[in-house]
Amino acid sequence: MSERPAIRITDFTKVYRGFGQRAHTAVEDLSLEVAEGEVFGFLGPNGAGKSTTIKSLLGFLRPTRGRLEMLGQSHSDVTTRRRIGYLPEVASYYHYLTARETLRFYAKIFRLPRAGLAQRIDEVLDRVGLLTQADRRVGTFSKGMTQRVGIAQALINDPDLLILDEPTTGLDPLGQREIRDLIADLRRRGKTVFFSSHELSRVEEVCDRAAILRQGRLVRLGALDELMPPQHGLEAVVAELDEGALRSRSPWPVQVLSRRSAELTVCLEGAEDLRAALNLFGELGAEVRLIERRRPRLEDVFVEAVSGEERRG
Amino acid sequence: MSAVVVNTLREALRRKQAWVLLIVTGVVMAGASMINVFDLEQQATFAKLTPLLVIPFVAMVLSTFVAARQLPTEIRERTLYPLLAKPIHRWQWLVGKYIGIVLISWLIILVLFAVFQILIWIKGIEVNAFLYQGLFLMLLQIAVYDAMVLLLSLILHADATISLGILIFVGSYLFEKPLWAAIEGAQSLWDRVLLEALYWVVPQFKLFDVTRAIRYNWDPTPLTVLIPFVLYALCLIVVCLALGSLRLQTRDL
Repeated sequence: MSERPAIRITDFTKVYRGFGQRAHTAVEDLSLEVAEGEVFGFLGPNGAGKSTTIKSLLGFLRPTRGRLEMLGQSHSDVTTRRRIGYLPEVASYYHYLTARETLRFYAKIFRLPRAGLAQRIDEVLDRVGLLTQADRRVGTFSKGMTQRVGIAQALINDPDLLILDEPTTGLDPLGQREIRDLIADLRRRGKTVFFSSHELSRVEEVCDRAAILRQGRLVRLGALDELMPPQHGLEAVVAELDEGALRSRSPWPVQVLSRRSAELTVCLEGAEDLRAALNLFGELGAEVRLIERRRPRLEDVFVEAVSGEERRG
Repeated sequence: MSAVVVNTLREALRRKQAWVLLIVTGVVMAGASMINVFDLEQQATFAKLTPLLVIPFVAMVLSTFVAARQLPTEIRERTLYPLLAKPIHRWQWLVGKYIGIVLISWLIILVLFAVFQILIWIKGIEVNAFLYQGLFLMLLQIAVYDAMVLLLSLILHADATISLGILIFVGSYLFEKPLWAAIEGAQSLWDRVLLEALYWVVPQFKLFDVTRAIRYNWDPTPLTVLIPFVLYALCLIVVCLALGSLRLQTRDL
């Protein structure tokens, strides 16, 4: 890892203690680093501790133990936040302000120079697709538009480090694609992006590295290539197939991945010879509609990591 | 911090309820000053005193609703998260909010006072300089009150803050004299110390009330008396904001 990572979390533990309530450990002994210029996916099921970690990084929660650093400074250092953009998981913005006023308000907090500010605000609004709605009050916006306001406020200071907590929440497929493109663009410009998400396909598309949390503990960490080793086997979509006959005749273990009307998606685990597989299906009188080598999928890694079961690839 | 101040002001001014109450109060004040059941001298006193009694209470009620809900609403609606992720200290946010609330309260008082001035000018009633000292003390009083309510809102639920804030304000008007009498009649030193501590720790809003002085046409208060009042108010404001900052700093959001 680099000399001065964008984020360094060392032995971080957060325990929630309420008066008259049992202590609840949300995150335990978490250590990880995110290099500058990296796009890092922070994954885990609900309640895994992702938002707790992000909120602690930004100083909303006090860590019970451990050290959190951003851009080489302690997380509690307020001046570092000049170089950070943050999109909360669930946030609302001042409903009595227009989108433009909202950005001007946050720009003032950053003490951005007045010269060129109006242009900067228009640029950011255009980037998130809100320029035509700039003078509408945020209180009248849909959930997806409010999320765009959130993204815009996170970008207003042109941050070096962007922390996005579930950035695609509330966005339609087009909006989700725009987020992916935005992250890709930020990476091209050398920015660091740290984001949590449930959209594993999006994570797979844009991340360099990822971490997976389960019940507050780190269970996977690494580059996507390391997390998703090459898979052995073939996946086929076939019709008119007798599943019992396939299982008895196949030299490879058979796994049925899905059933849709007359179509079956099957996995021939360990199979490498495409022609032999096609011959097998032909002998069984099945109609092969698609056959391909198994691709490693982050979803499989995720399910395996959070369920705690080791599955063979 | 100035951005927070401006935003707080903007929020209050864009809420229609405050304007409605302000207009209703202006109308009530105008109506009260038109009452002609007294002789000329009584009428002049009534016209001068009614607004001075009405304005602090209207300002107090409006301020209570503005101040008590500011911080809990930001926390509940999560508007706080994007804000505090930016280069702003929690204490700066609190002080910014406080200044915004005080400016709103002062605006309410000044608007109502302007209405009052117009009314007594129309009626040709003479006023002495004490009236302007009264205005100054009124502004000081509401600044202390806002700091207290803001502090309470960081400890209590919004409804409890509103109830307790109004209770302390009204209570200080009702119990200031009896409490002082109890201090003077205290049997032991401990009783006296305890009662005096209670007297000075709980803000005594009645001390800022000058209606008696205006009623009896006293001379304006000399600076030697006024300065300790200002210091007392500033002490209370600083203590409330410092405790509020401490509370805000040490809590998880």
